[in-house]
Amino acid sequence: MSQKPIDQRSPLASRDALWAAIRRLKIFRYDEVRRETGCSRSTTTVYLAGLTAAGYLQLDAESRYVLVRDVGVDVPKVNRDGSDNLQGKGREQIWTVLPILKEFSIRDVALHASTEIVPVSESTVKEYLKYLHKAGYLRASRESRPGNAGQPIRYRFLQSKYTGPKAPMIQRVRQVFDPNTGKVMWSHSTYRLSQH
Amino acid sequence: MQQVETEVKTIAALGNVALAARALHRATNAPSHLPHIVVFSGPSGFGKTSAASYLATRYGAYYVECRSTTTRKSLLEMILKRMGIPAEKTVNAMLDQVCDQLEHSGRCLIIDEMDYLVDKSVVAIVQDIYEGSNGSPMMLIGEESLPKKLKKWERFHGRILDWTAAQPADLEDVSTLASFYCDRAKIAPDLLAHVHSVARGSVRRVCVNLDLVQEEALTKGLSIITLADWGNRPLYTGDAPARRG
Repeated sequence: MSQKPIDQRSPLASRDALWAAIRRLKIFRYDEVRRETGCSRSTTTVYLAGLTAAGYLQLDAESRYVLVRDVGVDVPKVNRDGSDNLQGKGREQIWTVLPILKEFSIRDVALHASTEIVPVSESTVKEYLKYLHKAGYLRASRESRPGNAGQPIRYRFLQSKYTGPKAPMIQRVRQVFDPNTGKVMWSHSTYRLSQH
Repeated sequence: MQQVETEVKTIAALGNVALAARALHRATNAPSHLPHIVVFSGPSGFGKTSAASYLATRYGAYYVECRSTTTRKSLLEMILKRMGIPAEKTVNAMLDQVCDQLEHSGRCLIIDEMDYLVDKSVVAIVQDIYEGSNGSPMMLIGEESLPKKLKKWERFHGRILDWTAAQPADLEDVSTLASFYCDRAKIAPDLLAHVHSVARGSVRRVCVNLDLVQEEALTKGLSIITLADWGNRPLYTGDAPARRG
């Protein structure tokens, strides 16, 4: 099943919208939360099953869902069976440390963003920072150039460009999408057009 | 410390990261009749902020850093930005937003460079956040004089569960950092000890010097560099450069 690229999806019909509606309603029926959000049957079913299995929701005697564990605005990332969904966790960890470290090499970021649970490799960091740089979140403070061989590039995080806690996404269409603002920050195609 | 090949390389291996993590655990798990605020203080360059970044990734702590210009309002705005919550207009409403999210999420709030708040008497807002969130865990980070400065605020001072002083980098930290950063040349134990002694506890100085030493080894084409190879060349000993704001 193919999914639309995230920048073309309706921001309302997502897990974010479901979680926000769940927090608002607190006790609700399946149809109710679908009506509130316009989410598809499959999205709703899978997410509610995951939240129930993970102990966020409970079904009461009248088969209504009850929010029993409200963890705030952060949308719980769970699989259908209730286990933690670690997809994208590495990039999230990188995005978290950048504004704290402020100025860093690729290795610095890998060492700070890695945890025993979700390690982050230097190649992952390198690739991600490359795109964040293109999208204008970072400034390269020391370019690697001939005569400077082996000297690692250092980046500086531009605090004014911090948009929020969600990690910008690299889309398959070679685009940087910021889920905090819902904006495309850099696109391979527009970049190429502007070069000519 | 020997790094095993399969072990994940993370700064969690450093002494001050372990200290900070222990303090955070204490704040999070203290019985409800005890306060839930901890203080982590020490000189610039000891790796406090670096430790905080690990707490943010590993335990989902919210991290904010104060500046000389930080006001009640700007602090709340900063915290809300880190939470991904659009800020309401008034200080009061923002305070409610922050407290609500802290209480629900159970995530710790880390306030770095707390010295600025102490100086500027904005400290009351931190107390408001603590009380409004029903005693959510908090970690206050600052220079070594922070504990003394906080004493000025008696009501606040009594709410500190634990005072942790960041420790100077020890020889084990130096070897760990060498195993992280020096992968192109090996540094002999006697030179590592020298690097350790001139750093006077600063992780930042250790890193700068490990870099210098490794570069020298590469220039000379050495696969392992000893104190004798290094000789009397100066190492970076000066005070850490001014902190970036």
